[in-house]
Amino acid sequence: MAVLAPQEREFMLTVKLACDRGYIIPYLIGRKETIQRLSDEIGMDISQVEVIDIFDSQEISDMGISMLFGRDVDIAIKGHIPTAFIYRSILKKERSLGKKHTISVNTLWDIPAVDHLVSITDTGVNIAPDLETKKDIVRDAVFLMGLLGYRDVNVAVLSSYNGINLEPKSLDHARMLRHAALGGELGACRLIDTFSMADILLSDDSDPKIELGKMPHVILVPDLDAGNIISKLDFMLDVTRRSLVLSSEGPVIIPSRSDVHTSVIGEVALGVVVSRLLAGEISC
Amino acid sequence: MKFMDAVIETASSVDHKPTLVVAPVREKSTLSILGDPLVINMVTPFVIVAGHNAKALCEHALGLGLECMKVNEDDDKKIFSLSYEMVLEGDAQILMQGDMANTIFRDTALLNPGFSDISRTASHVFILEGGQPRGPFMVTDGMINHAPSLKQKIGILRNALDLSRVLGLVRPKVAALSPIEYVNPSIPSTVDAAVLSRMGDRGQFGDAIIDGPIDIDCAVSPSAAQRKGISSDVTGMVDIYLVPGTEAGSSFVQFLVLLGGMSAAGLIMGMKAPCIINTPFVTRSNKVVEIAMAKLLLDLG
Repeated sequence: MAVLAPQEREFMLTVKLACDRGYIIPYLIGRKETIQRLSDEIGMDISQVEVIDIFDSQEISDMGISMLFGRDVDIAIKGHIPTAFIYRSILKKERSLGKKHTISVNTLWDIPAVDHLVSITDTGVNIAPDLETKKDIVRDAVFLMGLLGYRDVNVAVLSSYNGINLEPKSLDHARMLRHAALGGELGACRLIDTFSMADILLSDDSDPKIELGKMPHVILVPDLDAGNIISKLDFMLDVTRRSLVLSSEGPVIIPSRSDVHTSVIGEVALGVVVSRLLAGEISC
Repeated sequence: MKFMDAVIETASSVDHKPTLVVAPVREKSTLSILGDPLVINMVTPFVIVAGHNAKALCEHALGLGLECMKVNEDDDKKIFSLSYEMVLEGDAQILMQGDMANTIFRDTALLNPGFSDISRTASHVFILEGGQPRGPFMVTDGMINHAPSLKQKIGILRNALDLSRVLGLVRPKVAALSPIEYVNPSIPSTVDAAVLSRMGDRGQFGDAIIDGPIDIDCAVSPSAAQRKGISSDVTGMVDIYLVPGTEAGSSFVQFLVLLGGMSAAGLIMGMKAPCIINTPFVTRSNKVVEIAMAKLLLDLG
């Protein structure tokens, strides 16, 4: 695993735990002095670990992502570095290789009363995605959910249209995406034909009940403002959150800076599983 | 529902009863909400009934102690127009959507220049309480303004602050939400939030604390804010979540209700009268809370 800028204590604790548990072999990329000091502080022996000494954030990011695309590593993880640098590195690689045109963050929610994971997407990269970008985002999420073993993937395309407001662009996108899905453009999925969580989950009677069994596998949010706020509602709700970018050469784990190591370790585990699935070494 | 119960109690303790007009009423269940003793104690409901069973509905309404008018008209738009004309003429003070499509409410009232208050922004405010997140807190605007301009956000915030004051919140704490806690010119919501926050510092919103841009984790969790190195006076104590637009706001509220077990009530402010609309995830019993909030806005606002 390429570890990008492990220059903060809490994050280094994640790396240590992941090594102790045998999840990964790390390549630590960043300021060597800081990395050494932090590993001493938390009692992690890095004498046998490869440390690549780079100061500049964009160079750190470019190095880690190059290693992923060069298949020197199976996974990359973001440490103490602004996410924008990493998105930039991945997009540069994808576009120069003529692979993905869009990258997106899938935030997976584990909701206790729901028997499958739910991907909320895109929660990190595209500020106001247009229709073509949204198609890419849906395809990515449908592929990820398929990889995780889900069949008959249901996709909800959210829009805040309610009849009280004027039609937002998201409604138009939702309608167009439905056509795209019917035309087979979006992969093996079915688009749900309502646009709000209330319409999806509430029963259609005079005293509506919440039917969590109708929870979609993929929830496409209209924009980044919505995606970010919703995906982090684990701070208010009983759900577990894990986020990753699925690059064409493997998962890139994007922990939030507010996450503690006991939560980020779960994201590393997810990354390991996804990379094994991608390599065809295991299947769901 | 301690807070919502208190809102009803406060509204009931004000003797003066404004008239609440509802049109068109086609369902008995709508009448039974209005006939609730809690409602009759707060307002004078005036219902406009129509349709083939108008006569029966009117008798039922009178039996519940409601004032009733029967019209021989099928067009929802025309029937609804009667209700907002009553408001414009001062015969009613609160407008409530009857059994009709939301688009009729929008086209007839919300988009009608004669019904808007040009000095204000029409916006919707939700109050949420209960379940796991507990609350109470407000979320605005999750219903009307998709991508509000800064000017509209100022209006949206003013409306929510007006409501918070009549609901008795002292020095409300506002989180102007964005995806990140830094100003990034590529993400317009961060810039607007920063401006609102500065306006708050300069006292332009009165006695309120406004912080932004702030992301949801730093707004909710003191330990998350600490991990991100953010020091904010609103963290963990937010009274009003000002969302960047309805796309974020509507799903925010719905997830809290559907997965968090919260109870929601809301209303539209910034028009000639407080308006109560039909929202699928607002329970019938919470309509009473909406009516109470509307009354308090009239009495104290």
